[in-house]
Amino acid sequence: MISKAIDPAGLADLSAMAGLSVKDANKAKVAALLVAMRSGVMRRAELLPVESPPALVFDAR
Amino acid sequence: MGDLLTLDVTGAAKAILSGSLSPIDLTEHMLERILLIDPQLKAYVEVLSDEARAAARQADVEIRSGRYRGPLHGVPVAIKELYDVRGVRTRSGSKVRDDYAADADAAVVEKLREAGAVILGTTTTYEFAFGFDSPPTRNAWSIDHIPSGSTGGAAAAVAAGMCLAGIGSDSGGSIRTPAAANGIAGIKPTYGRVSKRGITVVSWSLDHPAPMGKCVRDLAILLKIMSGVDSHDPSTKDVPVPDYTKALDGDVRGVRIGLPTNYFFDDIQPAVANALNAAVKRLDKLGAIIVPIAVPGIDGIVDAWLPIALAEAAVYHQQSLRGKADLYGEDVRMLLEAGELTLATTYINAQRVRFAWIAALRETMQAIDVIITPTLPNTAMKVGETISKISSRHETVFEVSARFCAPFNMAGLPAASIPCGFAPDGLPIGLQIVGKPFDEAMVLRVGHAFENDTDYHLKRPSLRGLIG
Repeated sequence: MISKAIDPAGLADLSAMAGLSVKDANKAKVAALLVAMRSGVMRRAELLPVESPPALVFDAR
Repeated sequence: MGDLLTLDVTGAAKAILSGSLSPIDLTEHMLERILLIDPQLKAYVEVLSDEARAAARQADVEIRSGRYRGPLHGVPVAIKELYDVRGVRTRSGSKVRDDYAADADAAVVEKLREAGAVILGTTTTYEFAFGFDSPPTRNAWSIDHIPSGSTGGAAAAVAAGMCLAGIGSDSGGSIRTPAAANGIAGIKPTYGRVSKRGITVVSWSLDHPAPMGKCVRDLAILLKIMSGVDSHDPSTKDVPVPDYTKALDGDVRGVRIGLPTNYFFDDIQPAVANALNAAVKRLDKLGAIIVPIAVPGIDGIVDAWLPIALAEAAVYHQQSLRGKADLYGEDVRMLLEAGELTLATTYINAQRVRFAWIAALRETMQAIDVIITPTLPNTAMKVGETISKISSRHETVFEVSARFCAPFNMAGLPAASIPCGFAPDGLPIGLQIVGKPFDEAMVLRVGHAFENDTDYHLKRPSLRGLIG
């Protein structure tokens, strides 16, 4: 699954919706990290059966 | 008074119980030592001299009148600044919390006080425990190196003899990596074993309160006291807490130790590889059964750990990221901003990867009792160094520190780090021992047997450059 690079300026609408002001100096790093995290996770998640569930209720037992 | 550098909880408890050492003298010597060393090592945020002296006097009176509470009675410990300590300003390493002072102790601090421990002070952490360093603290073995983190203050304090035990937390390795980097022992218990009440949240599903000490027996004592279900922390489990010291018989004959054939020995420093190979040989000689295992599904687990950590943290910081954003350090603010904007599908997929990892690990561990790995691929990094270079692999401090530890936060399994050697430059190396859920006793048993047969845990830093 593709994770395309995003224009740091493109974070504006999303962060405005959340009422969050991303620091100007951070925008490029945040944009890069979001893409890196998504592609890193998808690389593994794509290999799972579609019915494979999340560990949302976490129990180490 | 013996040598404070080598004195451990076990030794102090014996001396206190026999009357050859008073909690008052011990605490006074610790405070003197902090005055001498900490201006250079910078492990403490706040030293609670008056409170510590009062607690030591109370312990002395109680013990003299036959009301001995146990092996922590009168023993000085340090607490990571992430924990609430009643009436003490605990900033979690951040200007965001400059004015925060708790009106109640964290659950673990309550338990330590009930056990008679003397709280010496609070120790450094990275801002909100969001990094694998604990500035401005330096490594106890080399002033030019970082202590690792984010419980680096407590680790350096234990290693330098400025307290007998340290209490911290581990969300991706923050007990185990500073323990390894400072040549001491630390154990992250099973998720749900110890209450998180009163500890600043890093990430709800990854955070583990945890102890550090000079030896495995000290960890056994501390963990027994810290553990137990807490009705105010729904993540804790009502699982019996054994007397961990009873597991420390020095015998590992027949214990099945899984030795990974993949991932955990890729791109590690030669000194780390040598120390681990020697540790494996030693455990084999002690009668353990070494079982080569391919750890399934490990690749990409750290990739899944990061969005879970950041998204959960962003929720915890949601209000202050709006009202006090300028008070955050730039790097932490950036991570939280990324956490807030992480797609829900990225978070859920990360949790799906986590579920599959837990299932695969559970299957693998059916045939073994523990897994051993290096705690870190490298020894402590230099202050100011931002990129680790091992072979052709270049990683940030974050990446290299999380590589071997964070997978076991994802699985919630108990994992300890104990000293297993030194690099040619004198920096310590840690051995990670990972157990089955709620079987900390086996982790400690293996660690103790290794300690019994080696002297790495007895070696102490020269403190060159710290004491004139």
